[in-house]
Amino acid sequence: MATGEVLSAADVQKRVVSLLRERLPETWNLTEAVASGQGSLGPDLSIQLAAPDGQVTRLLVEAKQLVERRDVATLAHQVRLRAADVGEVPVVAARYLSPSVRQALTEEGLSYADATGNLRVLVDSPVLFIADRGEDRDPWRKGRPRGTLKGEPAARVARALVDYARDWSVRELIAVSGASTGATYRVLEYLEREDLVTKKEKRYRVTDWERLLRAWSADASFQTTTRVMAFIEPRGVDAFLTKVAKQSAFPTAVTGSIAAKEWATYAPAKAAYVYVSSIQEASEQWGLRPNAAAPNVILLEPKTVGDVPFQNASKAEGGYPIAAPAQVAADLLNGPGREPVEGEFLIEWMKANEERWRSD
Amino acid sequence: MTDELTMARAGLLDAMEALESHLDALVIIGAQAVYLHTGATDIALAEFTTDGDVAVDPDLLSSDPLVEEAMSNAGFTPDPRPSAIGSWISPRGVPVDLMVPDAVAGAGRRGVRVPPHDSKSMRRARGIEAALIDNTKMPITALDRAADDREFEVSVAGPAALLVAKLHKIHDRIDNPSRSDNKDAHDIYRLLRAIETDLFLEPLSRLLDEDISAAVTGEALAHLRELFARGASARGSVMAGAAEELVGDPATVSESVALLAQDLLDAHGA
Repeated sequence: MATGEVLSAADVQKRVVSLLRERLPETWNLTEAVASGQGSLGPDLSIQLAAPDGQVTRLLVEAKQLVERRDVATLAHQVRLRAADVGEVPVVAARYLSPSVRQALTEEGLSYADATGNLRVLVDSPVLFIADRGEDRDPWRKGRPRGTLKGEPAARVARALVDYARDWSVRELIAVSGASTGATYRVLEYLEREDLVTKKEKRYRVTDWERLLRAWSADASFQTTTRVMAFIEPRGVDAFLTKVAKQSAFPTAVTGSIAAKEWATYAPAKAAYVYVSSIQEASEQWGLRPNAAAPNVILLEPKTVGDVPFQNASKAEGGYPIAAPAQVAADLLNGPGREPVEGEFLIEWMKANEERWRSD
Repeated sequence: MTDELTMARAGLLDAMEALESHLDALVIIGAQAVYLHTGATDIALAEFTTDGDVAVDPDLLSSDPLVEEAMSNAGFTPDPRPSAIGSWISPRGVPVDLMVPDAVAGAGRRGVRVPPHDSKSMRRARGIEAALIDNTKMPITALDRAADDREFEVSVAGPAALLVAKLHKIHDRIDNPSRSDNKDAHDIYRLLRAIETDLFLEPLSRLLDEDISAAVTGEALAHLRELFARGASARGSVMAGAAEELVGDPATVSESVALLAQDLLDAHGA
């Protein structure tokens, strides 16, 4: 795809028409009518689709440059008002729709299309369903990416917002998260655009901690934020955990299945995942041998998330420190094998027992 | 806990009861002795055995009652197969093997020369000599104590002696191994994993100093190096891992037993 000049609204409309044309069955007929003459009240483009049996539907396309996650609810309301007649189907179009925006539109039950080829059009009568994947990043965007939840400040802010159930002034959030002022504002701006926090009278509030947790987990997997090394403890995981429980010389936090079993019992774990401040110090202290063939201890040394994995750690029944539930859930979602399923299991527990892990 | 394990223990208790006046001459060896030392751990492969193995010290065996009479009177019958000399079937069908270490079994090939006892009442076995030197008295009870309250204070071979015996058994059958041999290799892993390396050192030195056990212990350490310490792909390490196929983690077991064997040899050589 060419990524030169930014597309105009007209370019976006043309692109949407050709995307649809290429994907419609040959027996269907497509006619377009630009600018319905109703000004800002009308759709930007109206596309008529005729099925072979003569049934007709009209797609009312609302074409935007960009759509933010937080705009979706308002936009959905607008386009629904417009497509009031029988046989009319609203479609949200833009030069690019991010994965989180597409997901929000799908949850709203809205059809959408973007110029990179992301497409989902759903018509009840005549029955039609077209879906396709385009880009997952905006190819026309210049300069710094609009933001993600990668990096230490985002980790600090995200974990603080998830770990505590409260309204925040920026000053309070800076104090609790340990992120810098500038970084905190940048992260909050991004979270607002993604509709993950709302701002009311200078105070910020998380809209949905689960969605924030999943978004952060997707952007900042432990594989990218830490140095990972595999070891073997030949006497097994339990013997290893006994050693971990006995030491307190350096920051340590067990994560993964072993930590999760403190809250949501699942199957026994083959390997222990443990955050440590220094892999070298920890492996020497615990007498671990590097082993790639059949490791049962995985040490994680934070590389780009500071000391966030150790925040709000607690003690397991076995006496070893475990990371906070939000950290453990995020790590499980990114883990191998059946761990993502265990992550879902833990999130279910977190939803049902919010008062047990999310303090005021 | 399996019914087999409970049955096997009951069979062992039956033999203790039958040989009560010879109790001081007996040392429990085999898988049941291994489990008495290793206890329940987070090992995927469940403890499992269907028989009882007992070493007999002829120097401590009195001439009355005769072993064959004591066993028969208690309802044991000798296994009729010619290859199963010294193997007795308990009234409830549990085989119990009475074995005399080769070094003290007198002349002969399979049977023993421990008069006045019958030469076929016990079997000669090489590799179990260490059990006569390295053992401790322990109270032996049923696994289901509500149904069976018998208790005997009997010698149980120590971890070092059991290691020596298991290594000989595996080595003797290495060219013709069966699935049950995998379990013997896995018992090596169980022992090395449960017992701290340092705790093997003193008993091993003692076994190497004693005339009757020095040779078999030296050989056993060579087998440990060859079959386990050489790495995860050494034959014994592979067998130990194979025992956990479908229930556990063969690769981790093979890697672990090789490392633990190296640790022991390094500590012993240091």
